[in-house]
Amino acid sequence: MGKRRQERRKLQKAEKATKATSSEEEVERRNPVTNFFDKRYKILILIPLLLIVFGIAQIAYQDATTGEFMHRDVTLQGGLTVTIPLGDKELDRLEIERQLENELPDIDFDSRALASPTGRTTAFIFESTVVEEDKREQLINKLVELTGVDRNEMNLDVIGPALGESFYRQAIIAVLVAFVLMAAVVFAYFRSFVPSFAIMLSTFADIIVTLAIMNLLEIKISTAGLAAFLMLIGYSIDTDILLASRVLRTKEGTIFSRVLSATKTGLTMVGSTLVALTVALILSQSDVLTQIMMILFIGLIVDALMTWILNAGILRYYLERKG
Amino acid sequence: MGKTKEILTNWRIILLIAFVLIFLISIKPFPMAPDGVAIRYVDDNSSAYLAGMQSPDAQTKPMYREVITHIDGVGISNVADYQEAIEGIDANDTFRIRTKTAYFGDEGTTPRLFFKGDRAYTLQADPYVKPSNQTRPLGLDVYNAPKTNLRMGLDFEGGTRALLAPEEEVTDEEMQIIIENLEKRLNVYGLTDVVVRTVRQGLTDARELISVEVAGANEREVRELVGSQGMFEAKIANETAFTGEDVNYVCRTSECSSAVDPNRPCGQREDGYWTCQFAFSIRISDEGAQRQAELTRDLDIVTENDQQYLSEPIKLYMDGNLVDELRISADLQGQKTTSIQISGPGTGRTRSEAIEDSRESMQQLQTVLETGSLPVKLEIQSMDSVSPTLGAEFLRNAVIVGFGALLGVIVFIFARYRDIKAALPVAITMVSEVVIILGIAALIGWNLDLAAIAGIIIAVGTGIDDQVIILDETKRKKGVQSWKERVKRAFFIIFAAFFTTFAAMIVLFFSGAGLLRGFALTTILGITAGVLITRPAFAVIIEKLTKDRD
Repeated sequence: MGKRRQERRKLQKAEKATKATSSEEEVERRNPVTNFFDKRYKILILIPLLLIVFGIAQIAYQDATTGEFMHRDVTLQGGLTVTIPLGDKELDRLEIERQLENELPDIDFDSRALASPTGRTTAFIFESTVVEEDKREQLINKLVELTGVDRNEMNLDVIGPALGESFYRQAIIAVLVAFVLMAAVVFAYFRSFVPSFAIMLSTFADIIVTLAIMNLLEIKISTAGLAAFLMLIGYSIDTDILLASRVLRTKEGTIFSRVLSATKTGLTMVGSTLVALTVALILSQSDVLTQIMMILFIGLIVDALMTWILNAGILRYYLERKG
Repeated sequence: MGKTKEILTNWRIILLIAFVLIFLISIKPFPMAPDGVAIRYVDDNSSAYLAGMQSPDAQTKPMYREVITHIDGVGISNVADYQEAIEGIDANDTFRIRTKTAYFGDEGTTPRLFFKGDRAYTLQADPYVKPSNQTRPLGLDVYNAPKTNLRMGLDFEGGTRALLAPEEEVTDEEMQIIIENLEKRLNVYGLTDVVVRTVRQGLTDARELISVEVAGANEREVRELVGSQGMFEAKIANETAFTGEDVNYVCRTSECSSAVDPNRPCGQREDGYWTCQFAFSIRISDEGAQRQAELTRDLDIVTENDQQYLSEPIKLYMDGNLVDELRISADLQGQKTTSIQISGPGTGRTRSEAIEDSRESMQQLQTVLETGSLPVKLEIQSMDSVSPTLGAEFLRNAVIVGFGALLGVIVFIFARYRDIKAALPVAITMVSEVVIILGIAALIGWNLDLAAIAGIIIAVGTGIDDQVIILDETKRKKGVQSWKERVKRAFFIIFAAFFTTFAAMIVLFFSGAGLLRGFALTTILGITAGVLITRPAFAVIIEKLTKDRD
C-alpha cells in the first residue's frame, strides 16, 4: 500500500516537472522579444553577415589605399616610445609638442596623455618612428630638457625596424596557426562539419569586425594588441562551444528553447567579463593593458552578435533541415 | 553546519585548500618579515666583504635574502634610512651592522622555517674615502627589503631588457661564449639580477637572438655594456703594443682608481658644462710590456715644458675609438713597464652630474677591460627600459585594477543570480585561482611582469566563464537528470574550451620572443590549475549548497 502511494507521488512529481517545463516554455513563447527572435531567426542572420561584409570591405579598402590592413604602432614597425611620468608637475603637452616641432623639425612624432580615474594627467607618452640612433638621442634629450624629468625616470622603448617587422609577421602567423589548431580541436570534439564551420566562421567574423572597428577608430595595434586578438579567439570559442553543446548534445525541449537557455548562460558570461573590462578600463593607467581591454571589450560585444544570432541561426537552420 | 562539514571533507575541497595553503606559504614564508634593506650584492674586497658579508646566490628567493636592520644601533627600514646612516660614518671608522638571516649557522645553508635569525658584522670603513663619497658605500648594493617571495619583473621593479643580434653568423660555441661574457660583464659591473639567454624570433624565423634582462639598470649602462664588443688596443706609432688579452689586472679599489683624478680636478667649460677626469691603472703581461719596450726603443726624445718625452704617445683604442692618449716620459724608453694608467672624461650640467658621468664611464671601461672582448659585435635590435618610479606606479595600478575587476564581477554575479550562495563560491574560487598562480610563480622563482598579469587576467576570466557554465547547467530544473550527469555536461564544455585555448597558447609559446611567451606560459598554468583544481572544487561547493533544494 505504502509503496503504491510512493510511486504515485513520484509520478506526480515528474508530471509537475514536465508541466513546469512546458509552462516555462509557454511563458517564453509569450514573451514578445523572444518570440521575435524565434520567428525571424533566418532574417536576423543577415545582420551579422552584413557586418562581416562591411568588415572585410573596410580592411580591404584600407589595405588598398594605405598598404596596411591595420594601423601599427611602433612595437610592430620600429621606433621609439618614451613614457614620461609627471609626478606633481603640471605641464602642457601641446606646448611641448609645439616646441619639439620647432626645434626638431625633421623628426616625426605623436603624443598622448595617460590619465588617472580622477582625471589628473599622470604621464605623457611620446612615440616616434625614427630609427636612427642619433635622431633618437636628440629626441630623448630634448624631451628631458622640455619636461625637466630625469632620463632615468622615464620608460624608454626602442624597437629596431627589422625586429618590429619580424614581430608583426610572426604574430600574424601565430594567430593563423592558432586558428587552424583550434578548428582541429573543435572538429575533433563535434565530428560534424556544419557546427565546426559555424564556430570557425563566427570566430573569424569576430576578428574581422573587431579589427575593422579598431581601424575606423584609428587605434594603432601593438604586440599586446595582437595578443588580445588571440585572447579574443579563445573567449569567442568558449561561447560558441557552449552554444553547440547545448543545442546539439541535449535533447530536451525545442531547438529554440535550447538556444535560449544557452544564450542566457552566454550573456551572463559575457556580462561578467564586460563588467570586469569596464572596471579595468576606467582604472587602468597602463597603455598596454588599456589596449588589451579595449580590443576585448569591442570584440566581446561583436562576439555576442556573432554567436547568438549568426552561429545560433546557422545551427537552427541545420537542425531543422535535418528534421 | 552539517553542510559545511560535508563540503570541507570532500577530497576536491581538501585538495583546493591544501594547494592554496601551500602557495600562500610559498608567497610569504616568514610571517614576521623584518623591515630593512636587503643585500643584493657585496663587492669584492670592500669593507663589507672583508667583514664577512656575502653576496646572495642569484637563485635565492627574495624573502631569503639577508636584511640589514640596524647600523650602529640605529634602526634601518628603507634605503633612505640606509643612506642617512652611511652619511654619518667617517673614513676609517669601525661600526656594527645587524642583520636578519633566513639561514642557520655562520655558513648558513640550511634555511629556517618561520622566523629569521640574527647576525652581526663589524665593518671598517675605507681609510681614505668617506662611505658616503664612495661609488657604492661600503661595497653594498642594497634595496628595500621585499615583503613577499614574488619576484617583481622589470615592468614593476624597473630595469632594462634588450634583444641583441650578432652582426655575423656565430657558431653555437661562440654564442655560448658571448652569453657567458655578457653575464660576466654585467656582474662585474655590479648588476646581479641578470638573465642572458638565446631566444628564437618566431615560428618561421630560424635566427637566434640574445635576450638580456637586467633589473635595476638604466638603459645607458646596459647599452654601453652590451653594445661594445670590447676590442682594446694600445698602439705606439700605429704599431700594436698590447691588446685586451695582455691586460692581467684592472684596478677598481680606491688606491689606484678614482672617478675624480686628484691631479686633475673638475672644472667648468665655457658653455657652462662641467668636466671631470677619471683615472685607474691596469697591469699588463710581460709579453705586452716587452712589445711596448721594443716599440719605444727607436723613438726620438722631445722636450716640452722642461720635461722630456718620447716623440710618439701611446694611444689607447676601444672598439676602434680613441679612448686615451698618454705621453711617454723619456726615462721609460726601452723599459718594460707593466703598470699603465688610463684616464678619460666625464661631463654634466652640474659638478655632481659630471662626477656621476665620470664614474659611470670609468666603470664601464674597467668592466669591459676586465671581462675581455666578445667574438663578434652585437647589434641592439630592441631595448626596453622601465624606470623604477613608473614601475612601482604600474604595480600599484595593476593591484587596484585587479581588485576592482574582481569586485565588479562578484557584484554582477550576485545581481544575476540573486543568491549569495552563488556569489560567495565564485569569489572564493577566483581568489584561490589568483593565489595558486602567484604561488606557482613564487615557487619556481619566476618574474612577475606584464605578461604574467595578462595571463592571470585570462586565466581568471575563463574561470568565471566556467563557473557560470557550472552554475547554469546545474540550476536548470528540466528533466530528472542526476547531478553527476549535469556536472559531466558542464565539464564537457569546459574541457572543450580548455583545449582550444591551450592550443592557441602553445602556438604562442613557441613563437613570439619575450612578451608573448611569458603570457602564454602564465595562461597555460592558470587554466590548467583552474580545470584541475579550482573549478571542480567549485562544482562540489555548488552541489553541496544546492542539493537540498532539489
